[in-house]
Amino acid sequence: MKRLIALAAIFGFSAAVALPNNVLGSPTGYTIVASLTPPTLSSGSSANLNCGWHQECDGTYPFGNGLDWEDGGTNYGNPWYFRGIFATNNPAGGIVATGVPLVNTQDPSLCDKMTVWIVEKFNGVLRAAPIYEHTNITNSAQFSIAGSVLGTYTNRQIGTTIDDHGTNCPFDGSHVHEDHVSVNGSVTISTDTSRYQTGAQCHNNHCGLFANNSPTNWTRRFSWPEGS
Amino acid sequence: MRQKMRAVSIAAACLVAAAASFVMAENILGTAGGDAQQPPPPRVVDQLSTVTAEQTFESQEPAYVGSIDGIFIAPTTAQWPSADQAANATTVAGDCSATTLSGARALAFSSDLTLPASFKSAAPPVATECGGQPSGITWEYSLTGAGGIPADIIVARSVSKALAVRTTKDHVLVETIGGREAIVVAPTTPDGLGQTSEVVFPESFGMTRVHAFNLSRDDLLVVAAAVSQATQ
Repeated sequence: MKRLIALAAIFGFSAAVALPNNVLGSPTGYTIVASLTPPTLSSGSSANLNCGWHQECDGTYPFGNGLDWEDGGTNYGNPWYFRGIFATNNPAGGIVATGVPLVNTQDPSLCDKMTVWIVEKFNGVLRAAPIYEHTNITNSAQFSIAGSVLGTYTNRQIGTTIDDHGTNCPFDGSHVHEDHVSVNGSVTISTDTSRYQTGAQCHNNHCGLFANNSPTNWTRRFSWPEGS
Repeated sequence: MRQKMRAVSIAAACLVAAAASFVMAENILGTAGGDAQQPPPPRVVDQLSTVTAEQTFESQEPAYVGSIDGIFIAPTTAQWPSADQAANATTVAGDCSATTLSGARALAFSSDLTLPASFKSAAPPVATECGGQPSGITWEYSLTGAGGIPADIIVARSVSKALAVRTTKDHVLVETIGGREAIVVAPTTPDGLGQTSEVVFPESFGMTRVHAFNLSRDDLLVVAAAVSQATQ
């Protein structure tokens, strides 16, 4: 009898886990997964990683969510892109989110930071906030982001790299420091620390080339139950 | 008959066990994935529409260009006085790189900067030198800000005496914060959603400032009060 009751308990727990999310408070029952890829160079190019996971690429390399991507030119003003692959287990696919470019910091003294808020289409809730440092925004228009079962690629130029030398900005040449902040407890965030080394291990130029439109080269991934 | 009763009681026990574990799993997953008892997350798109409307209205107003307590404010560096432009160009011409905090001790606070516990340090302090001279120290903090979204707060001490920020005359205020006069450029809406804001304390060497993104006006002033204390 004890065995039967234990089996029933396991069955109940498993059923709760396996059932669609709408049973557990998610109206649609679908999951959205956003996998961002390197933001520099034109789509299909191999982007050069200049500094692995770090907060500051300054000689001490404290570990953090930042990756430095070379922008391919010796001068400034090279384009940077909001780039990633959006997947949903909704077979109908379609628009899953809105991208909202915003200025976080734009100042001649401080390091300039732009962000693109990823706002879920279904309920208008902010889900993710990737950050692009040492850049500006030249196209601030909101844009639609599509998703599909196999994943839909979004590639949109948002701005350009800048000369970010400032009294409060140590800066050693044109690049994009890609980062993010956590914005919503429903979102699971993962970063690929095996593909991209830590800052101390990878702090010189040309420490790795990564095709910037490849699903395998995602840098950070945000997933959440739609409508939660 | 006894066997039948036993079968029924076993079935009932199994049903109770299954239901209990189902509810337990729901509670566990519900807590991890957004408890249904929590207030629903805000519809950021709607709130941003309000902010955009306010900003569009303000953009019709002339931008503030002028000096307050020795700090020049204009939308772009090109609108700074030539002396400020030249000073900035000279400072950054020698390249700007990281230095040690002890190397920039001339810019350190008089006493420790202590923020309320709800403010979390987001990165180690960064000291900068330009052309071999200490030029700034930066501290970064986060706080759950407008709509539950983390605010980004930068406290910086800098040799610069000019700001490049677009604001209007109505939004530049001079207030006494923690006993010191400060220039306040508040967010357009009180919650600060998706907006930047500033508090600047003029200094003999340049300025001490609080730059924030997505921070409410009230919390901006909380940080500014702590910064004011640390400079005295």
